[in-house]
Amino acid sequence: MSVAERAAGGGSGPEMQSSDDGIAFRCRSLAVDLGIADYKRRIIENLDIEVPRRQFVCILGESGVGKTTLLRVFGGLVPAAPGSRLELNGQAISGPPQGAVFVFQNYAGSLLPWRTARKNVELGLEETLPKAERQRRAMVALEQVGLADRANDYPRQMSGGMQQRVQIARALALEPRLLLMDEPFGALDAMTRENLQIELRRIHQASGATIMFITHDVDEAVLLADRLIVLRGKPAAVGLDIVSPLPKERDQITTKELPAFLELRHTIYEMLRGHGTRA
Amino acid sequence: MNRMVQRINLPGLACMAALVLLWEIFSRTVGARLDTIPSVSAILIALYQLVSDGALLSQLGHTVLVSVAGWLIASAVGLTAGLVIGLWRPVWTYSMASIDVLRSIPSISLISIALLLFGFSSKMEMVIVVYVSQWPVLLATASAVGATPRSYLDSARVLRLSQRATVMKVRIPAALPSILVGVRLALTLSIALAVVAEMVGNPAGLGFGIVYAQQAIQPAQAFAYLLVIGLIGWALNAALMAAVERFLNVHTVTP
Repeated sequence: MSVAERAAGGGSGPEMQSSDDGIAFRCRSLAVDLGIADYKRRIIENLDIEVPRRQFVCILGESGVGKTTLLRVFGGLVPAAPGSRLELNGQAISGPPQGAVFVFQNYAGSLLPWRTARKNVELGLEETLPKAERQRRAMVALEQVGLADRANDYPRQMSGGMQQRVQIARALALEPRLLLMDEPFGALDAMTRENLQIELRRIHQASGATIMFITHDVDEAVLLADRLIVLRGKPAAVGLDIVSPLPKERDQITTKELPAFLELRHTIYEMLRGHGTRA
Repeated sequence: MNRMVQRINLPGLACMAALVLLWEIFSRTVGARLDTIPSVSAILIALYQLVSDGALLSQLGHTVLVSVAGWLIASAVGLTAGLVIGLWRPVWTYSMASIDVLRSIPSISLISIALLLFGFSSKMEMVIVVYVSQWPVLLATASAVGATPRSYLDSARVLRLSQRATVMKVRIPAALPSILVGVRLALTLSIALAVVAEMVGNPAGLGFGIVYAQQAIQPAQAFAYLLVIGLIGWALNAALMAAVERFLNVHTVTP
């Protein structure tokens, strides 16, 4: 059992679980209400998703459909309506689940400005690991995102792309099994975004985490995902759930030239425009 | 040291020197008939006399001691109360109405109450200084700690920080810039209140000195006291800022 599994699982590793079915994340008849008492509005209804371990899932949908809310439910930041079932590695979720880490779109607001990059990455480790170990892990995580040489810089001394990489490193340092990413590249410029997309694919291949990635950018979703889920309707439900036929190795130029890329992109756009049939 | 030299605002100092010169010229020409407006040189001579007969130094010591000690106590009290109020919502709910009323009572008017309670004493002076200067610290701390940005709290939650760690590592550091603003205000207030309390109540310190000079119709002396009071206000504030810069990370202090 690797350090990653020990740390993230907080118990026995997946290979030791007798009931292990290779599913990292599962939700059944999930419903979500926002607002309070009489003003409750159902945002999501009857959503069933099963995500196998190590899968890179992109969740798409028009703005306002409830993508971010859904991810916040997965992250335990927003409660699901009664009757919903949410499981991470076979365990029911209430509150931020062990082994799942959230990456926010708003990197500037989620890094602590009074901590250096390294200290920001260490934040989630301070209560569980001795100093030397967490420093080592923070440096490994920063290296993974290519920022080892900026470890002692403060967020404000970094560009937006670097700050977002620090936030990703902060998540990676916890050696998560599930990364929940809410439009993490949405606020970055096109060139930085493209570099980070490929970097994230590489990190995903290397770390073995399951990723749930919210975006409204169809090209980004098609480029990154092993599987694409389109949310539709009010309240939202799964409109399309499709496994990507693209090869595992992705590239900004060649992948985007593949006929399969264009075909998938076409399908998703049709679905988003409402021409597709509801699955 | 080099940085200190670079920081000196030469044009600003030149402007000040020019104003002093203008004052000197005015008081020696047009203002010569007004014996209530002393010339700069007369003020400096009065200041020299006050220093050399020892009266001023002990008065200065008294005022500085009371304002610094009062400010420290006020900061500690305000910080503690502010944290309790800011971190526990029920405490906030129950206390804020009373706090809003109490803090809007003009501070000077409390001196008569303090005189009744504590007499013409240094105790009275200290109570006034502490009571008045703890408000800005308390209010800044309570409101800043109670209003940690949502995004920081979300980060703390997804990183599974304990309640304690969230307070110590996120909420208090995030509030620090606002708390420092309160602490700085408290310093200015504590000097002002010490001087006022000395003027109307406690017969000691620079405040008493200036009133004494006024009653003895010694305008040059009164102005000399004014100059000293201005200088200690400036010096204490500068010392506080230097300490903040020295001991706290700039990234912590500036949001």
